Amino acid sequence: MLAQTLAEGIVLGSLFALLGVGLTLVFGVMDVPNFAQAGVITLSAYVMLWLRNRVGLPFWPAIGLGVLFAGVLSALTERFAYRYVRTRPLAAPAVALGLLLVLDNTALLLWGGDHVSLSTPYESALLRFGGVQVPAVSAVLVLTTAASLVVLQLFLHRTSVGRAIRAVSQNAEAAAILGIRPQTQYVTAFFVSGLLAGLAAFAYAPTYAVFPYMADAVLLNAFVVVILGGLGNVWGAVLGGLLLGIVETVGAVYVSAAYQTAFGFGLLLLMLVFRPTGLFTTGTRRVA
Amino acid sequence: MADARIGNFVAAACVAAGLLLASDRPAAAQTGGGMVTIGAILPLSGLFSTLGPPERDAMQLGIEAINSGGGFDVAGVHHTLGIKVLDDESSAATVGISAYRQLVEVDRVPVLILADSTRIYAAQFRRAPLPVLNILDSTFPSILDIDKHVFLLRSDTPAYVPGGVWYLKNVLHKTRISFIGSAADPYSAGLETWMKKSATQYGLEVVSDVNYPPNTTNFAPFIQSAMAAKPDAIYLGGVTQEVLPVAKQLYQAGVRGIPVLHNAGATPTQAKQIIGDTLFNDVMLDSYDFAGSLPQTSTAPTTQAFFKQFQTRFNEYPDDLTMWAYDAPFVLVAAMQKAGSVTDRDAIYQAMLTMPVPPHTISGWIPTSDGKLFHDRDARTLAEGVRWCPKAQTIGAAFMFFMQGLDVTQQQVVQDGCGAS
Repeated sequence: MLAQTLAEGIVLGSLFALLGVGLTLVFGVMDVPNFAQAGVITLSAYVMLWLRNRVGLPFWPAIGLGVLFAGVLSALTERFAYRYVRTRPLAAPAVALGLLLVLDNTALLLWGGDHVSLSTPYESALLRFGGVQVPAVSAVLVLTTAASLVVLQLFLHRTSVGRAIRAVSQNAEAAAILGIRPQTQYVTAFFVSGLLAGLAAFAYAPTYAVFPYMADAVLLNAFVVVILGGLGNVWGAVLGGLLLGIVETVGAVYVSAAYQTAFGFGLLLLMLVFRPTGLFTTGTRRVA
Repeated sequence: MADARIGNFVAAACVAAGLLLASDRPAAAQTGGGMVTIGAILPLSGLFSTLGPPERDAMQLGIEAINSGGGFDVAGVHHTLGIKVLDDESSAATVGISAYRQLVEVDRVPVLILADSTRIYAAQFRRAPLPVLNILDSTFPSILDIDKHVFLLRSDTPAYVPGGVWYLKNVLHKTRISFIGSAADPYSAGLETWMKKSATQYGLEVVSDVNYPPNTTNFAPFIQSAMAAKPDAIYLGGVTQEVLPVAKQLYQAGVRGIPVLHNAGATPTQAKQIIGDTLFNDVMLDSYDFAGSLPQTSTAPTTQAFFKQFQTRFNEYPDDLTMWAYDAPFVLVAAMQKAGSVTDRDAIYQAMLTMPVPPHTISGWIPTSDGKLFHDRDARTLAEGVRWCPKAQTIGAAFMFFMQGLDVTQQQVVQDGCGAS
């Protein structure tokens, strides 16, 4: 039973990590708590559904285009909203919340409030590893997170664009002196964060349902992950996500199901009291 | 520096959480003239949005039937009927209260139709009382305890939950129930209470009882806890949008061949939409749904006519809620006629207490022994359990019953509810 519980904790943690990494990337570069990420996930999931059910595209092309849409939408939020508050960090949370309401209500206006399923070709499959059973949709969620993080890490450390993002996150003025255009890196960071949001939509929507507020509550968990892991730290977000997922799942199974969320926020309180910089403090280095 | 950033970040997250729970939207335009406008607050969006739109549509059908029949006379004055429906966005405590004030205190509607979260409005009932006809909120403790002005146009929780447990024991021969419900949903809590009472009465054991917190989307830990107790039946608490995702995740977790009983009143349309077109027929195979009697399985010609009309017009299966919603305007018109007023809220309230079953209703209301529609403000019909018919990919009758306390006083086990399906 413990192995099964840990497996379920890893599944939940993978979702939190995937969401948290996108948030921490943007926060590391622009100091913006990007609540609108939930709206990007929602609209991306609806676009996938629309391409599948209305346009009639096969599953994988619909998913690919949906992920790309999320990247573009996220970049647009930087271009038409966040850009104007970059030097006014106290205004950023209000803009982020406003954007979230706009995006969620756009989904409500276009597609209504019903819960709708994003069906996958593998949703009835069940994988068995010894005594542990994992639904295929959950396994895809874990694999998507793992693959995304590896690619993101390679992107940030092995490509000139990734290194430019990290340079801007560490010191935008110094990076500009070296010929890196910070504005380009901001947009790129939002685009990459949007791609991660699209991947989250692809992996998360089939486990539950698509509806206008589908990602709002889970995104709050992702913010817990970002704080647990250390603001701006990608691997901190990964570890924070897994930790949060396992703590919530073990608490729900062994202590009380009704207080599952409370275990996560209890962990956050402990972290803020005893290690307020998170598991991995980045100091001056961000997007590490 | 880092502490300050974290502080700002946490504060922003808290503000976000608060604002996400509260939003508002403008009301619709009001009608007037010779038309009597009644009010309704329904969940047209949000968590309970599978419920509101079909109820609105069914009420509109009922109103159209009244008006196309020439309207109605009250105290010698001719009227037609209109309705102003406001969306509570599945958030009665915020949006719903605003809607109540708009309809009751500003628009001055003579009667109000409510759906869910009735308890939230308790203070408003005391502040601005009027007859309230609820067409959905079957919770325990009963909403009828909240205020004397509340009427329930459906059978309350004890009228259908015990029948499902009785069916588990006596027809499916199951004895060990695991319950999975929603900690934040009073409907689920009422089902849990009466499921346990019934299990004790009929000799079943509740081997596991888990309630997941609000906004849960991953039910794996709760499914694991429930299945660890080795049940031979699962009982799911909650409304359609809560129950069907859990049923789907049960199936995806490999739980198959165990009856999954619930009281969601889920239609085939909703099952396909929420579970998904590739999986719903397999997931629903083990589903048993116990609620009010359904228009789809009714043999009454007027009810069948409603079923066909609703399905044709809205391309959706009408459920028991839609049938009650269709009847609601007829009940209110009859109450106004008996009261002799379309504006006197107290006279209409008094009329509702003693009114008979109105003509042209389709739900099969069972009156009291002295002919009143409401049994202590609760209008009752036969209850019904339905099962899934995989060939036709729809529901079929499994059990018709009527409860008096925990005694099944009328019962009919339907063996061929799926017919050739």
